[in-house]
Amino acid sequence: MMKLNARTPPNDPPAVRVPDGKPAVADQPRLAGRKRPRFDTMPYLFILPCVLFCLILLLYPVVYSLTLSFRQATVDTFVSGDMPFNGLIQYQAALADPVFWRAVINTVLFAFFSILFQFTIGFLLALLFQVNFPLKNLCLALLLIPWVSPVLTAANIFKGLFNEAGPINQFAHLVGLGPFPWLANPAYAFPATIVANIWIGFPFNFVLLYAGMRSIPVDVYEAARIDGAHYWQRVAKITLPMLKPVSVAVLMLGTIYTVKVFDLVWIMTGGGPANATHLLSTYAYQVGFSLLNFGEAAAIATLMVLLVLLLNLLQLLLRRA
Amino acid sequence: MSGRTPAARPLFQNFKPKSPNYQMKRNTPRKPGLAWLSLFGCTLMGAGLASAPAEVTNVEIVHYFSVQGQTDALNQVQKDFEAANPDIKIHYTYVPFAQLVSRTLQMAAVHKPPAIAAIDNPDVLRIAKAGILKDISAEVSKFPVWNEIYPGPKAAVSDGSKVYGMPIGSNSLAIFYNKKMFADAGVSSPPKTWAELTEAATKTTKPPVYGIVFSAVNTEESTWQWEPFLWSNGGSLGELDSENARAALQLWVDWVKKGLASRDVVNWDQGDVPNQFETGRAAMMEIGPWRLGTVKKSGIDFGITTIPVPKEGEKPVVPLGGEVWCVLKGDSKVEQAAIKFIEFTQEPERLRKICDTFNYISSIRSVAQQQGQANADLLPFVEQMDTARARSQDGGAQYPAISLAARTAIQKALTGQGSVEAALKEAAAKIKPLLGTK
Amino acid sequence: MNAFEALPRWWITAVAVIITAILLSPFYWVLLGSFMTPAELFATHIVLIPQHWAVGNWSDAWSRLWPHVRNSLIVSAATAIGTLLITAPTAYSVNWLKPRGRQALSSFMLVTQMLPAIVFVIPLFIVFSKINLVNTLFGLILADMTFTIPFALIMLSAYMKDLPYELVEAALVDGASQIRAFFMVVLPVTLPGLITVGIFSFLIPWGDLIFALSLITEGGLQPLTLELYKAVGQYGIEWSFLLPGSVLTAIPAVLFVICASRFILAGVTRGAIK
Repeated sequence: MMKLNARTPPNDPPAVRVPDGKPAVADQPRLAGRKRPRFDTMPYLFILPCVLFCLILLLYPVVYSLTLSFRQATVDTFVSGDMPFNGLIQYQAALADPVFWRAVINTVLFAFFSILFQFTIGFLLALLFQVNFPLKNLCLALLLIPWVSPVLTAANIFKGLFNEAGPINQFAHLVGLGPFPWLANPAYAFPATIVANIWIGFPFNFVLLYAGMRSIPVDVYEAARIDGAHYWQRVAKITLPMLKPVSVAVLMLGTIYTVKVFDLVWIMTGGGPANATHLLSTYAYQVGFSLLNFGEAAAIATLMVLLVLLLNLLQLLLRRA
Repeated sequence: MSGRTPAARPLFQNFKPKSPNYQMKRNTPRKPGLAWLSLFGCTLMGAGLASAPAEVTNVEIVHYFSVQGQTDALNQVQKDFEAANPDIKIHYTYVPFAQLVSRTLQMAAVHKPPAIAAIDNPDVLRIAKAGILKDISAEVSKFPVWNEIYPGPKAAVSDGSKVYGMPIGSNSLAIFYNKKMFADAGVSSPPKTWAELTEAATKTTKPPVYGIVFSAVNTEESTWQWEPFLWSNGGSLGELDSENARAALQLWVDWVKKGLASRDVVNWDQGDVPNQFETGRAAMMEIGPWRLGTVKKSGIDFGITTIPVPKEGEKPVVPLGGEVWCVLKGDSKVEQAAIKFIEFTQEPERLRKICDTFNYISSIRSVAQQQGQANADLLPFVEQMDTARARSQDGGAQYPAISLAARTAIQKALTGQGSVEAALKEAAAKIKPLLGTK
Repeated sequence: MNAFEALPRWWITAVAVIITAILLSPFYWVLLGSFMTPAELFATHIVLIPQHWAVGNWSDAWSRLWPHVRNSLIVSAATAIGTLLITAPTAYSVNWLKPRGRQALSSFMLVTQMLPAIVFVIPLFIVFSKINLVNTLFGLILADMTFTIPFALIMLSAYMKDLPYELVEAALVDGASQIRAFFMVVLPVTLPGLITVGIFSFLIPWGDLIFALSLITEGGLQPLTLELYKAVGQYGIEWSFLLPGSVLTAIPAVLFVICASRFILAGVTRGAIK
């Protein structure tokens, strides 16, 4: 499982370390003379609103979905409320479906390429924006437009761009390349959806990395520069390591959100042609809302979570390596 | 905080704040905001809990009609009805097209069903299976128009002797053609058979213009657009591995292979199809009467003909479109009010007006024929009403899953991912088990 | 701080503007298209400049969308504020005060983020129906928070890790209570992170469609996204509404980010702590 309480970043100047596993408050030598509290409620008070929210509004849907995946919840049983328990049948049905496995492969590829490009573009942009220049705020805000626009619009933009007679093919024609059957051919449709997703997602990476970079103190760079490190060395040895918590979080969230992408693919290809571009999310939707088999859809959603956990674990292992 | 952080200072001495006007004091605690938020939230909750007056019966109608003309017609009906029945209030709730069925189910599941849901006809029997629709066979048999209802719409709402709704109106598909393009290409008359259709398409295909455009997108629209060809050739969704089905799909595949139709049809829905026709990029299109208004505005000199049949002399069999007023089980007073409303809409004059604004062909024979006489454009559709077939006849409550299998086959064949025979065989294998579980 | 510092600033602006223009080029089609009639939009050749500037599209879109701006603003602002209120102390505590059970909390939040929104929609609808929160903005705010709170917790945790705890220690030594230290030290220092997370917590509900779809059916309470979604009718897309509507929906969000991003800039507050 993810350890969100990682140790302090490796290049931090030696600061007061917070010992792991114990409430820091109870451990402060400088508070000698102050009565050591028997049970410090403060940490718990701080997290109380969040925990309450969790229990009331988050736990119920998660448990509901989990139980739904083990029940037969189709049109007839859903309304009456007594959805019979049918064990792992729906999981078996999902795992036996070749479309499901196609969707798994598509999801993994989709996530990998989207995140690779989104993160890289976001990172490079964040670097560029570290310096103050005129119109910086305006550019920053404008660059958020792909992320802020309704996905409905963005998906339709790309659907129009990739149309057989659309602008992309027209430009290709100008340089002599034949018209590509972008959305009619699965081999092209899939990359098209990835491109669209990269466009939508890079601002998310960009802004979060940008804010993270701003917290890195300037003098550390100064010191390195004085020592003769040139720009990209500074980026590699200072920016990347100090940005680790933020970039880890961004990558993690990026993976999660990319796996969940639904509207974009649904609008651009509908999962087709012939189920070739289905992601797990679109497949789950088709099962749940077109076929009204909520139980199986919940099972697919749970399997999706397992997949994401797997991907995150993989990322963790890769980072340790 | 000055003087309080001696240890920190040396670390940040070289640090210049970017914004010299930054003041720490700006960080006032946000706690007052929480109080306002709670107050606001409570006010909203309180407003939501306010109850409606007691004597008036509220009839909530859930629908997905969003076109201006349709909403105008609905509002007019509401006004007229409320004037005639002061103790009943009509309330429309718009839900997007894709959400209607699931929304109705959800509302029923939490025991707050609407009074009426305007459901797309292939979904009626499926929802009836959930047990939330009221059987109104006793009431509708008393409607004078019930005797004249076409067999297709009747089958769509009936399950044996039970009747689960009253059709608002119907529509289907036909071939619209560009008269000028026909004349230029030497096509003398609108095609009546498949052979003539393919010939007309071949003659009018002049890149970038395609001969024909239709929808083969990964939704119900694809199956719907293919059904006229499948059914007119005697095929059925239950036997997709038959020769009839094979020929029907081969027709489409040949069009795309020969370049008479664009490869992008697998991505075009019934909104994209008319766009192609109206901007002069296709000579013919398969679409329904709802598009008449926009096609007229586009300035194209067009004609309409019934769906071409495989062989001379046969009759086209088209799928039935159109929504149905369904009454949901609930409070008996509300149910009665709902039935009153439906009866109100079925009075012939009013029905005619509604169908005209909705671009429907009425499901009632006499009204439909009046419509055909008044508007020649509607004649092909009226003609087809006699043989129009409800989609739920081909699979009942399992229709959505059957349709999914069918359109997967269509897309596979059209994109060359499989041969026509193989794709249909695969679909038939998926469908056979479903047919046993009606 | 980097090689660019040596270059005159306008040079960077030029690069940034060019990159922005390239990255935003798909949006160019939206802007142009919003002035076109549907016929021009799908014409056989690329129409770079519309023949007749269909300004009517914009005025129609404006009049349809304007009543809903209020709803979107309320929901987005309340979600952002509520999220920050709840997650800022939690992130701080989880990372530095370390209560027991923090691992379970964080992991659970992470898992909820992995579930597709559809999974939340049905149960929330059921619960909210029972307590009459359907068709209320408050209900929608709560629903949106089920997404923004885990997100904010994860991101704020990351930003909080960079907190120089010795500042807090110093404050505590000087006799401040935990709460005072939190407000006086932690919040100002993590301001860039807070603002960034706040911005996203505002933008996420702004663009949310699925929760609004399930929970709000009453016309007057619908946020912008729902009204825009009406452009997707039964028979096809109403481009003349969708395109200008998309731009109009995006503008307030962009303005908001422009204002709020100043605080990210001003966030280099460490030196400001006197």
